[in-house]
Amino acid sequence: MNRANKGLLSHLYPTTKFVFLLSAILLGAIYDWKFGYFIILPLTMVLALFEGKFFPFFKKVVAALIVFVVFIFLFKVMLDNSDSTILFQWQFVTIKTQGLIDGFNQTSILVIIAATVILFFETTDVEDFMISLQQMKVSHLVSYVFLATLQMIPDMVKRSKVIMQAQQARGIETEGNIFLRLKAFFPSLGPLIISSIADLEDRAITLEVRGFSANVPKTHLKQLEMKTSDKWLMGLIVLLTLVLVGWRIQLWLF
Amino acid sequence: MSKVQKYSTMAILLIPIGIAINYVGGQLALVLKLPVFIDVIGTILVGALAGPLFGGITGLVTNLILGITAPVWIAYAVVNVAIGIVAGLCAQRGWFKDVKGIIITSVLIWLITQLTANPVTVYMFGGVTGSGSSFITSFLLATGQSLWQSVITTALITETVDKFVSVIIVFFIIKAIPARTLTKFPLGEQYIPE
Repeated sequence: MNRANKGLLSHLYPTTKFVFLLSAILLGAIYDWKFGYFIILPLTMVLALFEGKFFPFFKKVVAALIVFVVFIFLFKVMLDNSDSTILFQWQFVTIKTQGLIDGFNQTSILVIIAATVILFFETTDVEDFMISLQQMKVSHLVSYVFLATLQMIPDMVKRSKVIMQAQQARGIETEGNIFLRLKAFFPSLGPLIISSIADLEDRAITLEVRGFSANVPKTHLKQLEMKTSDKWLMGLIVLLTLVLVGWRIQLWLF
Repeated sequence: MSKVQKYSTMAILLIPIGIAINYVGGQLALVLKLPVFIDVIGTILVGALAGPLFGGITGLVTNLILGITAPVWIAYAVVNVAIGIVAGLCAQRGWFKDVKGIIITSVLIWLITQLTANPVTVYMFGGVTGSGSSFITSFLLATGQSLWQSVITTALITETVDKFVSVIIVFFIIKAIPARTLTKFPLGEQYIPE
């Protein structure tokens, strides 16, 4: 990611953004659909806009949610046996308000999770996120697993394509009836997995030489700083969340 | 380096590979247009070679990483974790070595998948799984079945074959790993042919 044209959200410490994410999800769980749709969704879109990442953000959110939103509304309407107002009726299709409200409620939390997670990763490098975790004393093994995986997945996908082409050149059929295709699976995946596992030992030695499992504090090439603005922002978010949670509890009790 | 430490390092390194295998397996199934997902091979493999803890972690991190671009997957993490743990427990009892064990393992993994995935589908997603199986579910709902019935039936149809096939694939993969690599894993030695 090019550092030069990053918006203001990228300069925030990852934990700050993560606190926002957690608060949004917590509040979304206790408030009804209006919170998700009228507050979090517009808020995340505006934040994405400030960040200069509106279109990638919006595309990803829509892609993540569209199937769910459509089907959830469909199911809720089909399962609606209430006596609420009928909004639309045609042959055997009946849409009542209760079904729609149920649909909104069920999808609201999904919208919140999708919007906040996608916004978080649009504005934060996974690398930075891992560094912030390590600075909070989370084990470097966690960072290793995440970062190694993110490096390995594209690598393995490329290799799998190469292996598949090689096998096709040797006459493995990948089109045709289902048994043929099933038979193609193992020769395509097998060599990939076995060679990756066999490489493990070399990897282990490389890491050990660099003190991977030694019980000493690690040095970092890249430093991240939590600024005062981060602390203020986090404090503000936590305070606001507590107030809103208290408000909801109070509404429920009285 | 003590033996325990060496085992742990190799097992930890196995996790990213397991996750990548999960991903590639799923992709390959899509490319070959197979009617199965086969996206848990890595989890089961790590469980079989390194035990329930590492299998479970592989499952968890797979879904977290998938969740970066598709937050849906985060909710299903519990399923992947359960599969990893069950695979590891079965491996500890030596059930990945012969046909009888494989059948037991497949059934157990299939069972735990149904038990963990269906509640998530119903409670978090109102019955929708995001894949084409939702068409089957809506058809069943239209015939008057309840949401739980529809979801369970859909899952029985789409998931059963998938899990059995996945376990069988892992069985053959383990057979193909060279012996000297197998010894490096906590549960590896049992798979070396006499």
